[in-house]
Amino acid sequence: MFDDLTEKRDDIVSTILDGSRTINTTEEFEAILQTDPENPSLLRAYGDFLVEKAMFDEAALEYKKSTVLFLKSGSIVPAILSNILYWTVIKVSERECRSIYRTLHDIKSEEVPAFNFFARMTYAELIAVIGELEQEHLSSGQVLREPNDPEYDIFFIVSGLLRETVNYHSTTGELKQFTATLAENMFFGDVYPLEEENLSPSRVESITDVQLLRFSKRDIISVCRKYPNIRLLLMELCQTRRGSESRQYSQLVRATTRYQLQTKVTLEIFSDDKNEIPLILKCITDNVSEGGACINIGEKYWIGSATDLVGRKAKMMISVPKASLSFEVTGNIVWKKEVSHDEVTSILVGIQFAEISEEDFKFLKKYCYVGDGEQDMIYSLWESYVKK
Amino acid sequence: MEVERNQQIDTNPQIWAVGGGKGGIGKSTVSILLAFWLARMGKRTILADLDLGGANLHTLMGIKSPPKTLNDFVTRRIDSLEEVCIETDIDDLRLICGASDVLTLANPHVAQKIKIIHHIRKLDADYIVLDLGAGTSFNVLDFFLVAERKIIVLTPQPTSIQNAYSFVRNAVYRRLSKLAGQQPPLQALIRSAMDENNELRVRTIRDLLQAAEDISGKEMMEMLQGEIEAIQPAVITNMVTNSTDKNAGRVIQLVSEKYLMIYPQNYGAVAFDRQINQMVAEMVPITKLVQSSDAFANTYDITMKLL
Repeated sequence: MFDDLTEKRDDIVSTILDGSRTINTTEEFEAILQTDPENPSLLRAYGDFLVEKAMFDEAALEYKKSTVLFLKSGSIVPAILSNILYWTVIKVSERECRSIYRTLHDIKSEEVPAFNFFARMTYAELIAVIGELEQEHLSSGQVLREPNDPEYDIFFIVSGLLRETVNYHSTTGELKQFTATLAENMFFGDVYPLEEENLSPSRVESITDVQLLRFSKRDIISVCRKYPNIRLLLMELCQTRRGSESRQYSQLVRATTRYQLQTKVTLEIFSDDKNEIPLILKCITDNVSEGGACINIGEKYWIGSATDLVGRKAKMMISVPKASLSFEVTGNIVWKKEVSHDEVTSILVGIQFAEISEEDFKFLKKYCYVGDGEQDMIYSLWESYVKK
Repeated sequence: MEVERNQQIDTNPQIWAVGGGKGGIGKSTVSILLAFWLARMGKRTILADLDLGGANLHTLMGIKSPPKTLNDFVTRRIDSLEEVCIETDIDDLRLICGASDVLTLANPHVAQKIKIIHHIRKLDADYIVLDLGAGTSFNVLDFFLVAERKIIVLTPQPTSIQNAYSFVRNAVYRRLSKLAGQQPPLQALIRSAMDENNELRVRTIRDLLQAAEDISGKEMMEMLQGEIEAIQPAVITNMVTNSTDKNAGRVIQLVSEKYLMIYPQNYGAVAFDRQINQMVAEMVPITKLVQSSDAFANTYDITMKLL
């Protein structure tokens, strides 16, 4: 009997939360709240309801309660959303803000990487980050990312479920898939390192309706300029995902870059003026993937501002005679940076590939995918570097 | 001379172990030439044949039937390993012969192995070069891991590179296994991880260390990591015929760095020399190799780098 009642109550709550049940009066909502007064999701839904009724002070109270309850349960991302809503509907005193910040700090939830990310910020850093987070809603079955899509945002999951799928080649060369379910408090989006063009390693689609908090790379860079500690926290956050990825998808040995193997490439950089002869440079790369490459163009070849390079169209040609590989690919220079080593400053540019023929793409894949095991890597390296 | 040696017993010789997994890649030739150069540089050197299942170093040194072998020491016919050493034609170079015809030494007991290692450390010499057998048995790996210089010999053939890598890989796991000591969960993890297709999906040493941290804590993980990094094998590519052959050592470096988190050093290459094959066929000591030989010059350079 008790179980039946509980189930019925949960059904009501879930229909309110997923929006399939409409409630018209505050009395009706409060009656439902009586059945589950400590449900932070329900409190937030009630806050939303009150906002619609223009009852902002009352809504703020519900959002605040929701924030604290989420925090106490270690549910950081939903807590952040409730907090954003709280601060949105009324002007909150700094004392109130600091009180919530203290609550966040007093709670230990080391198992959740997102919790560590937010909880280790200073008060000013947290305020700056929260100010940049944007809500996103997805309905079920929506695809948010395809493999090799550029990563422009990191997403924190407030509620709902998503499916992440990674394709990889098994040791026998067979194409296989690894699937993981992403849920509340998890995150996705490989935005780190911030200066590089990052490509999605996987397909991400929603299984249910999903609420997300989006932190765009542009805003992250902007916030990091003022608060450098956030960059470190972000780096650690992304590493936790890579760590779990490397364990979960351990068959997907990250052979997608020819790790530390320097290869000579010829780079043609085109000018906006079609009549101008392209700049042809002999360069070095040790990092090529299917989506792009990081190329060291040295220092002696470039006179003038390297910033001018960004946005230019470029063609990269790779020839590996030992491996009978030769292909060319066209793309755009999307970033540049200067690195110094032994008192020599070199310019690195990142190219995002755009145009490539099917044949050249096959060569590119052959070049990038060294193999998915030690023996494959040995054979591939032998073929490239030792075979006569 | 004997009195002098007995007086100099705790000289704490530096041990160079030469391994590589595959047979027929010239481990013994490289061992002899390294020992030769050490002796020529005035270092009191002992070359020890630890190819316990198939000892033939003495043959390459031009000795048909060794008067005494390691087996005499293990079976207690001779009390001191020092007494098993035989003089060679080269000043400052002595030889400990193995015994290929004696099955008792092919798979020594742990106690015998410990005894051999213990007494090798007490030998009166500046340098001891251990010529290890083929394969990656625990015996071979344990002799390899006690050495101050862990030398991997390979040839440019893919099978040799694969075997050399397997040798390094097994040495790393052997070291980890010994360090795990009496911790059954950690031992089980390491044993499982040695299988490349293990169900735990531990594919790299990085994965293994992460799992070890979960089981035994950060301190243990850091200790294991430090010990692995200290292995640092020296890679020598043998029987090189052209410049691209020399890259074989680089292959071991790259794969080891990626999968094993160890950083082998590339000590260079030894040129292929037909003369050596002929000398082996005619039982002429390798040490009589003509000084114009490229292999001779290459091993001099490598010895200088290893010192």
